[in-house]
Amino acid sequence: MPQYELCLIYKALQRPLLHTAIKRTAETILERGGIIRSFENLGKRALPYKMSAHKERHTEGNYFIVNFDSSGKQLEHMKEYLERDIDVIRPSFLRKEKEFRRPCLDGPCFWGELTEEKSKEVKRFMGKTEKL
Amino acid sequence: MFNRIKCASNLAKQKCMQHENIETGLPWVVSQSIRHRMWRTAPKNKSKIFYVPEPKHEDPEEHEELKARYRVYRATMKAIRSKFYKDNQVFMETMTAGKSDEDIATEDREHIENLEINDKWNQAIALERKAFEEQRRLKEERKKLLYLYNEEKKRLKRQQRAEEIVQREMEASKTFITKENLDSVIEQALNSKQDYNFAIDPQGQRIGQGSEMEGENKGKPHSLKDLEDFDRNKQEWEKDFAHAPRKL
Repeated sequence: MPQYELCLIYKALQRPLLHTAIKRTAETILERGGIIRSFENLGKRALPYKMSAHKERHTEGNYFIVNFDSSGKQLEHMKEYLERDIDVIRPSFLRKEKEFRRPCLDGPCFWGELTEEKSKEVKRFMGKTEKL
Repeated sequence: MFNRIKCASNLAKQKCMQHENIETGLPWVVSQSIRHRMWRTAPKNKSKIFYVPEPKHEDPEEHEELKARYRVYRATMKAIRSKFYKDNQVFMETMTAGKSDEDIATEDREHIENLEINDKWNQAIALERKAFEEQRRLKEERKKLLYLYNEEKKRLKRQQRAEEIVQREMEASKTFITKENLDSVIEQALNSKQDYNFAIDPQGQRIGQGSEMEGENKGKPHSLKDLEDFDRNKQEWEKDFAHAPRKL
């Protein structure tokens, strides 16, 4: 799975509210089969320019970073969800240069993992036997 | 429309060869009308369907004359050919008949000697060839072994790298955030503050701290110690970048 960095700007919320907002975003990632590696808090800062989100003008926000792994297909859904979140001013996804790639993706596996085609074949065979 | 021999194309040639005349052993000549500006399967033109070409005019007297002349030509050619054949036969007979027994014996001896020389030569070349082939075989074998060795080396390297990656990821997976420890990790993150707002020198060392530049210290220069460090390291950096062309 590719590794991403989610850079979020939350509203200038109180701490308990911010906590719940972060928890909500983390749960969206976990529900969609993602893996969260770490959180980074960049603190409360003045925005570089006035940003408007959800019919409000903002001059300052809480910067927060989530490092996570996820499939690329789920990214669109996450983005859509986060844009609908009222506490989030800007969600932006960045792809990391270093990503965890399965080491046996090309060539034979060292731990006996089957290739994609082979595993499909096996699944098909198992399906047949189960029916019988 | 022209009447032409079909053997113009290779395919037609093959077809011709398939239907050989049994008596002569030659292919049948197949004549076919080809309209070059049209495609091959084009049908006969509508206006030419009932067209019958008129036979060419032939003078009977001339025909008779030509026939007679051709007969004479054939007869003379046959005679010349048979004469040459007979002459040659006589010549060959005289060549062998004129020779004495000694001459024949010397010829035979020479022939045998030549054969011996040929055999020797062949043996010498066979030895050379054998050595060359052996050398080539060894070379190829060495090449194969080297290839296998390199492949094995690559495989081992790949395996080592794969194991490293897996080990690293397994260790990293211990600190993955799950739903159970989500609250505590968020609290921890909110308590600590990450800051990337700082400068680095060419060696990647950190200069100053970003947090100093925030809030009250915003717009103020770095701390004195940092400036001293900067001056001290400046000469070293200039050495590092001396080779690089300076673009202003």
